[in-house]
Amino acid sequence: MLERKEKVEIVVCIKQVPDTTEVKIDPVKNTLIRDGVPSIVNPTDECAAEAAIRIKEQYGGKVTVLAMGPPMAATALRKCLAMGADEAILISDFAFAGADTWATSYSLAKAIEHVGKPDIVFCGKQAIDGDTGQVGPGIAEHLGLSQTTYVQKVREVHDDYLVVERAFEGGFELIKVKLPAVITVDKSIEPRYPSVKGSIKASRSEITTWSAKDIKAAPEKTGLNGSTTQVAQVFNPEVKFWSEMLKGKNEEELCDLLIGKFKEREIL
Amino acid sequence: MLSLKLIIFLIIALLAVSAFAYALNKKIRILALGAKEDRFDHPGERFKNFVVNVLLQGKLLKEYYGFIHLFIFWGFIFICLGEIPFVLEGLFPSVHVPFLGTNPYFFLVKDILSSLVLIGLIIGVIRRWIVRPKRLYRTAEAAIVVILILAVIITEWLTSGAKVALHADSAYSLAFVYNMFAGLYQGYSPETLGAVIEIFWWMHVLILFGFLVYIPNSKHLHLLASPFNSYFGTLKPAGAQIADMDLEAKTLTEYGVGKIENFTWKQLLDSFSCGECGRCMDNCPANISGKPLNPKQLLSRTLKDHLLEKGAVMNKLGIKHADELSAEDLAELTKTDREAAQILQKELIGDIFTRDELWACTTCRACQTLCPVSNEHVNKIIDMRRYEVMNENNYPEELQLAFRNLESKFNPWGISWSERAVWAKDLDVKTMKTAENPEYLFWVGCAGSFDNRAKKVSVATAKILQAAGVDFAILGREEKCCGDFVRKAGNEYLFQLMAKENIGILNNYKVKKIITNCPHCFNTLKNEYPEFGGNFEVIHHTQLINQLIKDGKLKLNNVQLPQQKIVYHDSCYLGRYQQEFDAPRALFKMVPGVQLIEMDRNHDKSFCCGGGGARMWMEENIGERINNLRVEQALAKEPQAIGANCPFCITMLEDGVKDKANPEQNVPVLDPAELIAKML
Ligand SMILES: Cc1cc2nc3c(=O)[nH]c(=O)nc-3n(C[C@H](O)[C@H](O)[C@H](O)COP(=O)(O)OP(=O)(O)OC[C@H]3O[C@@H](n4cnc5c(N)ncnc54)[C@H](O)[C@@H]3O)c2cc1C
Ligand code: SF4
Ligand code: SF4
Repeated sequence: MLERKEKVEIVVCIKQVPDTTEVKIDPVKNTLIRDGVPSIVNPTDECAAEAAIRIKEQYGGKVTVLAMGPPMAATALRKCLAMGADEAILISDFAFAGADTWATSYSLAKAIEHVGKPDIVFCGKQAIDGDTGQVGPGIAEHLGLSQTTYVQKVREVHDDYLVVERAFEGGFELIKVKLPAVITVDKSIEPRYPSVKGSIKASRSEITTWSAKDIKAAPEKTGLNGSTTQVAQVFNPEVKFWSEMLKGKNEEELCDLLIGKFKEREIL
Repeated sequence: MLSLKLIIFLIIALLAVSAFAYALNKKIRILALGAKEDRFDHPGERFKNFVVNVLLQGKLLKEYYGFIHLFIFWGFIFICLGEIPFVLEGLFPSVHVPFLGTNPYFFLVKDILSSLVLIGLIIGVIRRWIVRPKRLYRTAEAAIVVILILAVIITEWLTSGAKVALHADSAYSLAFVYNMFAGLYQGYSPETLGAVIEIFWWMHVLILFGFLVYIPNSKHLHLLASPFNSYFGTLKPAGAQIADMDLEAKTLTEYGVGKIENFTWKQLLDSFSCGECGRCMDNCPANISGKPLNPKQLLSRTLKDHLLEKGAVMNKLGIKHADELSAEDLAELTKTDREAAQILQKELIGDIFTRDELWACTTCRACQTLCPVSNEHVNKIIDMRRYEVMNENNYPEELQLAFRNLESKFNPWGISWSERAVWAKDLDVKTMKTAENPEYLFWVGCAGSFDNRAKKVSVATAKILQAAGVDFAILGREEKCCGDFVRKAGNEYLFQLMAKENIGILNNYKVKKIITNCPHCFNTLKNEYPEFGGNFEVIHHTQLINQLIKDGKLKLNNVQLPQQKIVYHDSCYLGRYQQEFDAPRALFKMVPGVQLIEMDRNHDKSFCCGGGGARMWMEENIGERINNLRVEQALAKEPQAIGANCPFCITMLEDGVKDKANPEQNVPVLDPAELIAKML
C-alpha cells in the first residue's frame, strides 16, 4: 500500500462552548445563560485536533487550529496548542456576531483560504450548544472541497486521498475521500491529555487574531447580515411521562385496548 | 631548640590537619555545586534553633534513646576541651593552661562526662549489635567510630592516670577516674611511669589525629554538617515549605529537580548531616508497608553517594552543571575517562532513585518532623515529582485521570462541577452569591462535596454551625478543588491554576475567615495560598466547634448515647502539619459514653492513613496497604469505633476496616462533628 510521502497541511476548526449537556436558555432573551458555566473546547473538536495531530506526527507537516468567537475563545485554542497543534488563529470581530451556520461556515472558509491551501480541514461532528452539525459541510461547500462526516477513524493517508471509517448506528462505511477534503469526526478518536510542559508553553504563546477585513470576508456575508436563518425561539421541551399497564386475556384483546387508549388520548 | 618530640608532633599534626582540610574543602566545593537558596535571614531565630536542637539536642530527646546521644555529644565537647591541656602539657611539661589545665572542677566534670560517654557507647553498642533494631545499620563505619571514641577516652585515662601516679597534681584531685587509673600503676617505678605516659600520650595523639582525618571522609561528616544544618533549617511553617516556582519566569526552562546539582546547597547539606539514626525510616508508612522508599536510605546513602561521586567528577572537570558539557565533550570524556562520563550521565530519577520510591511517599511528614538534624525530606520528593510530571510527562497513569478530572470538572472524582452543592440541598445553607457578607465561608472541599461518606460530615458540620447561629455561606458551584493533591503530585502548573482561580473568587467576595473540615484544604488555604495573594484566617471545624462551645454559643443536650471506646487517629495534615492534636480529641471527650483511647503511634508519631501526597488517586500495588496497617494498629486496641478528623482518612480507614475487621465486627470511622450533631 502506498502511503503518503508528502507533509500534510491541516486546519482544525474548533469551537469554544459552554460546558453543559443541558443548555440552559434565558426564556426572555432567548440566549444561552453563560453565567457561571465554564467554557470548554467542544468535545468532538478535541477529537478532531487529536486526529490531525496524529497525522502530523506520522507524516510531518503542520496543524493550525482555527476558531471563530470572542477573545476568550483563545483559551480553547491554547488547549489545542498544548495538545500539539503548531499554530492557533482566532477570528474575532463584531462583524461575525449573530452568525448562523451558513455565515459561520462562510467566515471559517474565508479564514481557511487565508491560511493557505490545507490538505485536510478537520471539524467536530457537531457542537454541543448549537448542535446542528452543519458547519463542517458548509465549509466544504464554500471551498468546493470533498467531505465526509461522522468519521470515527482515519485509516490511511495517501498523497491524494484518505481512507476513513464513517460511523453509523451499528457499523461503519469505509470511504475513500479525495483530498483536499473536510472531515468531521465523532467521539471515537480519544484526545490525549496534554503534557504539563505543553500546557505551560501554550499558556505563554501568542494567538494570531484576524478581523473580518483581514480574511477579506464580504460584510454582507458575515454575522447577522449573512445569516439566512434566524432562531425564533429556543426552549427546553417539556417532558411528559404517561404510563399505564394494560391487562388482557390475549393479544387481540390487548390490541383493542391499546387502540382504545390511543383514541382516547387523540394519538390516533 | 625544638625537641625531637615536638618536631615529630608538628609533622604529624600538619599532615593530619592538611588531610582534614583537604577532605573538608572537597565536601564544601561539592555543596557549592548546589542551586542557590537564601537561608541567611533571621539569624536570631536560627541561632535559637541551633541552641535548642544542637546544644540542647531538643529533637533528639523526643525519643528516650536520645539521651545516649546527649551524653556522647556533651562528653565529646568536654573531651575536646580537655585535649588542649593534655596535648600542651605533653609537649611542654612546664606549661599549665589557665583554667582548663589547672581547675580541678573542670577535670571532675570531664571525668563524669567521659564516663557517661562510655556508658552511652556501651548502651549504643548493645542496641546496635545485640538488640539490632532494623533502623540502625551495622556498618563498619559505625564500629570504627565507637572504637575510636573508646580509644580516645581510655588512652587519655591511661596517660593521665600514670601522671597522677607519678606525682599527685592538685588539678586532678577531684577527677575520680584519673585517680582510679592511678591505682592501676601501683608499684611502678617513676622511670616506668614516665615511659608509660609517653607511650599512651603518643597513642592518644595518633588516635586523635586519625579521628580528625576520619570524620570528613566518613558518615561522621554528620558531626561537622549537622550543626550548620540545624542553623540553616527552614523557618517556614510546616505546611508552607514547598518551594516556590514562578511559572511565568521566562528563564525557567526545566521544572523540578532531575539532576542532583539542581537541588539547593541546603538540600545537599541534608545528606551530609544525616546521622543515620533511622528515626525517619522507623516512622515512614511507605517503608513500613514494604514500599521501596526509605527516607534514611534516600538521604544518607542514595543521594549522598551519588552526590559525592558526581560532585567529585564535576569539580575535577571544573563544571558547575552537567549540562555544561556538550554531546561532543561527553563523547571525548568517554574516551579519556569512561567512568567519569558514566557517572555524569546517570539519571537522578531512574538510575539513582527509582520511580516506585518517588511515588510511594504520602508526604506524611513523619520523617521530617522526627529528624533530629532538621533534614527536609518532603521537598526533595516533590521537586523530583515536579521533574517527572512537568518536564518528562512521565507519571502514574491513574494520576492523569485525576488531573483530567480536575481540569474539566474541578474535582478529582470527575463528578459534574454543577453537583458540588447537592449535599446541602435539604439544608438551608446560603451561597456566597446570595448571602450578604457572611462572617465565615464554609469551604466544603471536593471530598465533602462529592464523596458520599464525607458528605455526611459536611451535613453534620453545617447543622452544628446553624445550631450555633454562625453566619456562614458556601461557594457552591463556584468552589473548585484547592489543588492540594496536584501540588503534592508535582503538577505545580495545575495547582497554580486552581489556586489563582479560587483566590480570585474568594477575594472577590472579600472572604476573610474560612471554616473547613478537610485538613488538606485547611493547609492549602492557610499556608499555600498566601504566596498567590490569598490571605485568609482558616479554622478547622473541630477548632471552631470547641470555640463555639466555650463561648456558650453552641448548647449541647445531654443525650443518651451508647458506651463506646473510640480509638483516635491523628491525620497528618491536621496533626504534624498544623500541630493541632487537641481540638478533635476534646470534642470526642465531650460526647456522653465515649472513652477516647490512643494508638501506640499517636500525635507527632501518628501513622499516615495512606491517602496523602496524591496517593489517594494512585494504585497501591507494592507491599501491604498502608490503610490496612493503620486499621490493624487501631483494632489492636479493641475499639467500638475509630475517631478521625479528615475526609480522606475516613475513606481510607473505612476501606481498611472492610479488609481487616471480621464482618460481624462493625467498627465505624467517625468525625467528631457527627457525634456532636447528635447532641443538638
Ligand atoms: C443560544 C443560541 C442562539 C443562537 N442564535 C442564532 C441565531 O440567532 N441565528 C442563527 O442563525 N444561528 C443561531 N445559533 C446557531 C449558531 O449560529 C451556531 O452555534 C453556529 O453557527 C455554529 O453552528 P453549530 O453550533 O450548530 O455548530 P456545528 O455545525 O454543530 O459544528 C460542527 C463543527 O463546526 C466547527 N465549528 C462550528 N462553529 C465554529 C466556530 N465558531 N469556530 C470554529 N469552528 C466552528 C466545529 O468543528 C464544530 O464541531 C444559535 C445557537 C445558540 C446555542
Ligand atoms: S513524608 Fe512520610 S511517606 Fe514520605 S518519606 Fe517521609 S515518612 Fe515516608
Ligand atoms: S534523615 Fe534524619 S531521621 Fe533520617 S536517619 Fe538521617 S538523621 Fe536520622
